[in-house]
This record gives sequence, structure tokens and C-alpha cells, in this order.
Amino acid sequence: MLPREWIEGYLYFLLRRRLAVSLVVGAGTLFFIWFTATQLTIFTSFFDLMPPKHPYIELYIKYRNMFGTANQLVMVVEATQGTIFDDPRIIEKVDRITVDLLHNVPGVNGEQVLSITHPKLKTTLTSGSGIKVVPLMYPRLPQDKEDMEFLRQKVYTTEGVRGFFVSPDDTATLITAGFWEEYFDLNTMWRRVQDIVQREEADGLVKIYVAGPPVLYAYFNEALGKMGYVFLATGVAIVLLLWFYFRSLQGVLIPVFSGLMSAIWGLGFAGLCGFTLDPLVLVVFVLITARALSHSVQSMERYHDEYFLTQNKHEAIVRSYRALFPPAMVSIVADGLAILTIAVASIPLMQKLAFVASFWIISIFLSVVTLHPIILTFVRPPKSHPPGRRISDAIYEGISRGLIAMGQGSLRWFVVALFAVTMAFGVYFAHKLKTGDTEPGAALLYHDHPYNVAFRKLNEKFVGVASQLVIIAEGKKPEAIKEAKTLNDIELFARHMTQGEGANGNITAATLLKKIYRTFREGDPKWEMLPTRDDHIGQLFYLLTAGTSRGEMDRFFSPDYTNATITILYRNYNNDIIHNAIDRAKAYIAEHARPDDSVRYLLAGGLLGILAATNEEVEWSYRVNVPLIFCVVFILSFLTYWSVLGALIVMIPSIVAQPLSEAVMYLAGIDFNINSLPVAAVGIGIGIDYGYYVLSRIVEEYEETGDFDEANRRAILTTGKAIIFTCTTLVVSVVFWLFFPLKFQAEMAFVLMLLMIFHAAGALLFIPAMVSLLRPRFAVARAEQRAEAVLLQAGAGR
Amino acid sequence: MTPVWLTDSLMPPYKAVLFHVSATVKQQSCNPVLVRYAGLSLVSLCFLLVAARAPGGNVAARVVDNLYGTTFVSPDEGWAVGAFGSIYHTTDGGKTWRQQQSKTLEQLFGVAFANREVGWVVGRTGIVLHTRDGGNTWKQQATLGKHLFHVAALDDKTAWAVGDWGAMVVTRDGGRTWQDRSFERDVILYAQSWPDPLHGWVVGETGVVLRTTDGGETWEELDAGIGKTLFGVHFTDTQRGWACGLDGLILRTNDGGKTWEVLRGNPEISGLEQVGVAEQLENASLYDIVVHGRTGVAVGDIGTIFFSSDGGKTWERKQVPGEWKLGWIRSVALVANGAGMIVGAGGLTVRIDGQRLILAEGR
Repeated sequence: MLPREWIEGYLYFLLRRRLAVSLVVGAGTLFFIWFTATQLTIFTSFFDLMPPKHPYIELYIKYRNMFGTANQLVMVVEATQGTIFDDPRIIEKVDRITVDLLHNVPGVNGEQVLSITHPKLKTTLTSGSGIKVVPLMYPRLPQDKEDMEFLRQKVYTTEGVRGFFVSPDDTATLITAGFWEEYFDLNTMWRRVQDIVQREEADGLVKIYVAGPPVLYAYFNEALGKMGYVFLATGVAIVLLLWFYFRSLQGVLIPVFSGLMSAIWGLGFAGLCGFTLDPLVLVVFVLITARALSHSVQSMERYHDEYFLTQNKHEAIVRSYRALFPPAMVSIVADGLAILTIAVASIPLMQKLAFVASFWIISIFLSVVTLHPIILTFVRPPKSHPPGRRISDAIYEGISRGLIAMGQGSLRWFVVALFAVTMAFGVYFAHKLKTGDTEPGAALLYHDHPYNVAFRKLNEKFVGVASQLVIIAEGKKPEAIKEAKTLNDIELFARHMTQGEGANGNITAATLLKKIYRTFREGDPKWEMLPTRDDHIGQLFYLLTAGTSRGEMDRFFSPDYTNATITILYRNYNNDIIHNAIDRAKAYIAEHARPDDSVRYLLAGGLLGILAATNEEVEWSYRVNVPLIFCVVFILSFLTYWSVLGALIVMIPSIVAQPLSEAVMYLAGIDFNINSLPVAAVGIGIGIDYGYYVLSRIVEEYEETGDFDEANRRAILTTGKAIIFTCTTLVVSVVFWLFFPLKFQAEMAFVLMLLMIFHAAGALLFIPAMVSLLRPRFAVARAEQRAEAVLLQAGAGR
Repeated sequence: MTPVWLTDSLMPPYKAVLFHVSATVKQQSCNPVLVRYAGLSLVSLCFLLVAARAPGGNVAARVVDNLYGTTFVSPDEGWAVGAFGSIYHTTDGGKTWRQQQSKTLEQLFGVAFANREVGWVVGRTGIVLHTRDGGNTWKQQATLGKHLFHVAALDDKTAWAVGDWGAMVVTRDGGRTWQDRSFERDVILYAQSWPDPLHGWVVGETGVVLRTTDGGETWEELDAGIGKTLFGVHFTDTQRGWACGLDGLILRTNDGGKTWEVLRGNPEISGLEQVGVAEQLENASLYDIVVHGRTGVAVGDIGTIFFSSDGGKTWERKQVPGEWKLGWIRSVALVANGAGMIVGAGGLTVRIDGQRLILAEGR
């Protein structure tokens, strides 16, 4: 524990230099207001979601030009009646949308815009007298029924069009557009896409569904505006709660001031560092603000208690903050450092969150611990009233007496057993929780959200378009992929991957060459094979590329024929499919790759590759995170009580909360991913301050009474009451997110609420029960030291 | 000490596992009855795992690879071969398929069985596989260099295979040796038909038709009257035969191939712009044709199936589900009572029952 002299020294310094301190803190606040107002941005940055040092992401960045970006928009244009071949106007719409996406949407990668009207989609006209490669729309966009029938025929007879760009039932067609992450403008993109959708749907001929990562984040961005209502409702509810509890203006204003000030410092710090904040993790910041309120309420409550006892404002300030300083300090530092450990993940989103949230929490030291004593010197003392007169007091005391009963006698064993059972329950279900999405899209949005509707439509009509894993065959020498053996190996690898769970097909350079080979053999499927000679392969490459323009084949192989892609198409994706696909690829490479091969296989691009990298990083960082959080908390707890037992008693609710939170996520079907990890990590560490406040008060009361049960009783009646209130405040701070249109926010709010309630229960039930059972020596020793000091003081006085 | 209930018939790794488990459990002073039941359960589990993973095991395979050839020796029993060395066997008329181990990853294009036990498979780079036990074990007999697209088994000693570069090879000793009887011209030979061991026909590129009446000792080239490639041929006797090919052609002969009548398709060689996609759709290439009794079936590109119910005189297009049109059908086999099988792209296997088409289970 901090020496009493230091605490008192700091307190007296604050009280003596209250104006100077206020001015300094005020200047700092203005500084951060400026940064909040001018520099802070809230949106989803794609690069922030990827671990840049992960080999898959490095590969993705290196070969983005080849296999295209994973930041891909997909648009399903479905005929409302009949098929897309029934009306030429539907094809006109597709052409208009394609041109619009190419020319009017910022950040689009022109090479990645594809549709049946784009000249890149080609068909081969064959007959006994020759072969000609022409765009699918050759010779023109359909004008009449006859043209439409001709188009239908071309679609039917061109490999790689039906099923990929035209649904097998002919009712829908697909348009895709990739975006360069660095030039991407989410708002403009979304505005233009919505304009396109509105314009083309106006005549009722088609229904358009839009999906893909850019659209997903556009919906998040859109929801951002609705967060204002949640903040407003939360603010009003907290003000009402504060009024209900303190029944005074200062009881409302001081905690609200503390919460706002910390928020300004936290957000300003984000602006100062140039960080963008992801809308999905804003719930964490709401919780931190509520924590600032919580600390503020604890200090106000203690001050009020001391004032009612002493009827002396200055003495009450000194007595209350002298007692509160250690638990407040240790819980702020523990919370701040615990959340800082999230930065071990090399994902920018999480690192930024860790730095901002940590600074935000540490700022509570200023907004509450430093400024409160000063503010209280300026304001009038509370009106005295005997305890128990208010209804709220009666409610709190009723609950408190129940808690006291649970911490004594044989019920103590029941409490301990309950925690053991909870721990076992948590551990049992926690190990079932897997990293990554259990269902694409569904993790973040409700089942009937337009995005999920669109995603389902996409998967219903077009298989594998949105879920691809790309493996790079990187040449060890020039023109490596012009070798028959290399292409044969690539084909075998692709086939092996296609036999894996969830895979539905593959596309490689070999696929294209085989089609050409077959075409030049009058279309007989038996010729859909690779030639055995290198010079024949070279000829096929020439034939393939002769009819294409620059960049058209980059998705499949590099212009110098050194590198190639192996694209595996999946029906869908979830954490198991991604994990199994990566494992399968790794096992194959380990078994089949030889040093004298002309290429080396590198993992992994495509949406599945990026998700695999993120999942691996999230999983690793969480496994490191949790022990780190507990190490930090243990060290601080040990330094606070100078006792291993004391540290363990205060930590056990958090230790139980960790598997419990995972179990709740598993049972509630909440995905454990890049977005939920920080929230879960915050949830584990952030409730520990309840324990510090309770245990510190018990130790303090034991010094007075020399009886643990009496100390427990007094602690629960005083500090416990404030904890019940602050727990209520914290729950209220997140409860309105349950009604938020994003499923993720609602689920995270649910988990956090459960965790906050559990932490409060741990502090109020488990800690007194354990203290009563174990009668920790550190508390006894401290009481003895205190008694000796009092005796010495008394002796000196005589 | 090894428990008495552990028999020597178990495979060594499992034996080791069982022994280790039993020893460990004994050290823990566990109930010996429990140990025994646990051990038996483990044995059963191991057995099931081995059975499931063993080559030729009784687990139905999901057929996904392209299939190029099929043959049936009875309405229920047949084989299909395809890409990546895949060989599948069925004994229930194609309801379920079990994979046989070919020990190769080459494309396999043709399969023929002389009887239920003896058969050959041919494929890319002239690979020849042979079985004498109904496909439980396949042995590679030769790699002849040129791609072989079709094989015909006349008896358990004699088989003919045809393919690229005019390749024609024959074995008369069960595959121990293969004689090169290749056609002198560089044409691709796609298919052959032998209604009896003396009479055979071979068809191929640019409408070439070859005939033998002496068991392959000599071959004569016939004029089919068209210049388009023929992919399939079938003779029911020494006079009556059918051929199919490019641009939806179905030809018929009633005089052993001397003259041919075009039953359907476009025999004209047209200009590129005239033929184009429309031609491909209307007259999609037909790759295989078989007539058995009054039933005839021809199959081809974009899921095309023609049926004949008058012994091959007239042919009618069968309407098929939309998704079949995305792929091709490369081979057809027919046996008695109009029962048979068609196979194609992406592991498509469809049972023929009279005029009915029945997809394999799980598709």
C-alpha cells in the first residue's frame, strides 16, 4: 500500500494549490477538446483490421495487384419476374451499373470490376472452321428478344459464366467491384451505391442486393448516427440514477463532470495520436466513461459518509480521500495496464484501442482522484440527513443485509461452492469457443438485416464468389509456371484443396489452359487436360493471352509467367472452414513441396486468407493477453496488500469471470473475433476495482473492530452500497445498447452487463466469505501495526 | 503382461495402443471388467476407423471429379473412370459408388471389362491399368506415350485401345504385351465398337471411320461422307451401327459402315460467324452413343441427352434439369432392359432406367 504520508502529502498539495492544479487540468482539458473537435475520426479502416506483420497479410499486400483486393463489393441483380434474359432493359441496367462502378465510385480497382457486360468476360466461338475469342456481349448489348436469346446461348455455352456471373436458374446476375484500401472513401462509395440501387430498382424490373466487406462497414458507419440516441438515453438514465442516489445537484454534476472530462481526454488523445476509432468498439469507451462515474460515485459516497460523521468539510475530504486513494489508484492502474496489454496483438485496431482506452482510464486519476477533492472544497457540503430515511437507502440496506448474511456462517461455504461451480461451468464451455465467425456477416448484424439478406441471396444464387482462399505459387525462376510439371503440381494442389470441407471448386492458370486446350481439340472434354510438354504449355499461354488486354490475366498469373494463383472457392465460410482450409494447405505443402520445385507455395490471400490471419492473431493475442492481464493485476494487488492471499482473494472473481465470459459468448452464439476480443478483455479486467474497494474497506474496518465478520458487515453497508449503485450505473450505461440495430453491440452489451454484475457479486459475496473463512494474516498484521502505532502515539501524547 | 483378450490378429499399432492403455489402467488399479469393456470399445473404434479409411472400404464415395468413361457388366454392377486417376465401382446400379485405388493421378479416359473380374482402364500419356479381381486391385501394365481415349475388352486376353496420333494398340495375352497397330495418319481416334471379336469399327477426327473384319489384322478406311469429327460409335451387329460427333451429329449405317445416313445434327462445315454459339446450343457436340434393343442413348455437351425408343431410327432430345446444362456428359453404358449409366462433368452419374433418368444418391 502507498504510505499514508505520501497520500496525505498529495492531498494537502492539491488543497493548497487547488487553483493552480485546476488551471493546469483545465488547460489540458481544453487542449484535448481541441484535438477531439478537429482531429478525431470514427470509421472503419480496412488496414486497421489486419495484422500487417502476419505473413498472410504481407503476402496479400505484396500480391494485391495480382489476385485483387479482398475489399470487394458484390451486387446481385435479380429479376423480379422471370429471368434476366426476358427483358433487354435488365442487361442495360447491368451495363449501366458496371460503368458507374468503374467511373463514378472512388477507390475502385478497375481491374476488379466484373460483370456479364464487362468486355473482360469472354466467350469462344468455335466451329469446324475456326475459333474466335470475343467479349460475352459481342457483338453488342442485346436490343431485342432475339439478341437476348443469343446472349442466353452464349452464357450457357461459356465456361465460368453460368454459376459465377449468372445464377443457374437464370434469375440473377452478379457484378463485383474491388476497392483499393488506401483510396477507399466509404461514405462516397455508399452514397453512390445507394443512388445506383435506387435508380435501377425504380421501375420494379429488378431487385438489387449488395454485400461484401465495404458494404458491411458502410452499414456500421450508417448505424453510427443512431448511436447518438443510445448516448442520450444512457446519459439521461445515469443522471436520473445519480439524482435518485444523491438527491443533490452536486451529486449529479460532479460524477457527470468526471465522466465527461475523462471522455474528452481519451478522445482527444486519440485525435492527438491520429488514431481512427472503429464504431464497433465504441461500447468499450462507454463502459470506461461509466467507470469514471463509478469511481466518482465511490468517492462522493465516502465523502458524504465522512461528512455526516465529522460535520467538517475539510476533514471529511482528507479522511475520505486518504482511505479511497489506495483502492482507487490501484484499480485505475490495474484497469489501465490490463487494457494496455491488448496492444500485444499486432492488429492496428486493437493497438489503437489499447492505447486510447488505457490513457482514458488513467485520466480518471485526474478527473476523480485529483479534481474531486478540489471541487469539493469549492462546493457546499451535503445537507445532513440521518441514514435510512430515504427509500433508496432502505433498498440498498436491505440488499446489503442479505449480502452480509451470505458472507457469514455456513452460507459462506455455499458462496465459495457457487463460485467453484461457476468456474467449472465457465471452463467447460469456454474451451468450445472458437476464434472467428461462426457464420459470415451474422456475427455483427441481425438475421434480417439487409446485409445478411443480401449475403444469403448471394450464397443462394452464386456459390463461392464471396468466399475465396488464394494461395500463391511463387516462382523460384523466371517463367516458372510455363513448365508442365509446375502446372501439374498446381492443379493437384488445387484439387486437394477442393476436396476439403466446404470447398466447391478452384480456379488456376491450369484451369484456363485446359479450357483452351480442349477448345482447340473441338471441345472434347477428354482434352481438358494439361499438355505434357513445356513447349505445348507455352503455346497455350500464347493462345490464352493473345486475345486479352494487359492486366486481364493478372488474377491467374503474373505477366512474366513467374507467379500464379491458386484460388479455392468455398460455399460459405466460418471459423472451422477457414481453420481446416489453412491446415489442409499447410499439410499438403509440407508433404509435397520439394526443394527442386520451380515454385514455392505461399499462404494465403483472398477473404479467407485475411480472415485466417486475423483469427490467428486474435487467438494468439488473447492467449497472451489473459495471462498478462492477470500478471499485471496480481502484481498490483500484491503490492497493495503485500500478501499473496490478499491478491488472490481480490483476483478470484476476475479469474472466474474470464472463462465465464467465454462460456457466455459460446452459449449465446457470440463470435469471438477482432471486435469482441477487446470487449471481452476489458470485461475481465475492468471489474476488479469493486474487489479493491471492498477488500480495502474490510481491512480498514478490521483495524477498527478486530473482528472480520463485523468488518465485513461495515464494509458492505458502506462501500457495498456504493458498489451496488455503481454496478447499476454500469449496467445502465450499456443496457441501451441491447436495443441498438447492430447485433454485435447488443451482444457485447449483454456480455458486459453479465460481467459487471458478476464482478459486483464477486466483490460483495465472494470476498467477504473468503475473508471470513481464511481470516487473512496480512489484515491481522496491519491491524496490529495500527494498534501499536496508536498506542505509541498515545504514549507519546502522555 | 498382455491381457488374454488381446488377440494376435490385431494390427500392431492398435495392439500397442491397447497394451499401453490396459497397462496404464491396471497400474491405476481400475476395475478389470471396466478395463475389458474399454479395451473392446477401443478395438471396435480402431476397426471402424481402419475399415473406413482402408482402400476399397465399404464407405460410399462422393464423386466430384470429371468422369470420362463408364461400363456396366450387369444392370447393377459397373465402373466409371475420370480425372486424377479416379475409378469408381457400383454394385447397386449407380445408387452409390465406392472408390477403387488406381495408384495414379493421371486422367483416365476409358474403361472396359471382359467379365466381372477382368478389365482395363486407359488414359493420359497412354497409361494402361489392368485388374483381374473386379477392380479391387489395379496394376499399371503400360505407359505407351500417346494419350489413349478408349478401350474395348473382347475377352479376358484381348483388348484394343485407341487414341491420339492415330494410336491403336492391342493385347492378346491379357495385357502382358501390347502391339502397336496405329493408323498411318495423324488423326485422333476417339472410340471403337466390337459387336464380335472379328468385326470392329474405330472413329475419330475429321470423320475418319476404320473397319476390320478379321479381328484387327487389317483395317480399311471408310468414307462416312462428312468431314466432322466423330466422338462415339456403336455397332449392334456387323451391319447396323451409329456414330455421333461434332455439331450434334448422329449417323446411322445399315451396311457395316459403307454408307451413313445423317439422322440429326449439322454435317456442313460452316463459317465461324454463322456457327458460333447458337450452333453450339442447338447442335451441341455428342460424345457417346449406345443402342441396346429398342433403346438408344446419345450424350454430349451442355447436358445434352438424346433418347431413341425405336432401336435408333429416330432420336428425341431429353429435357434435363438446368444445372446439368452447365456441364458435359461424356459417356454412356447400356445393358439389358434399358438399364444403364451416363457420366460426366463434376462427377455427374445418372442411372438410366428405361426412359427415366435417376441421379445418384447424395447429388
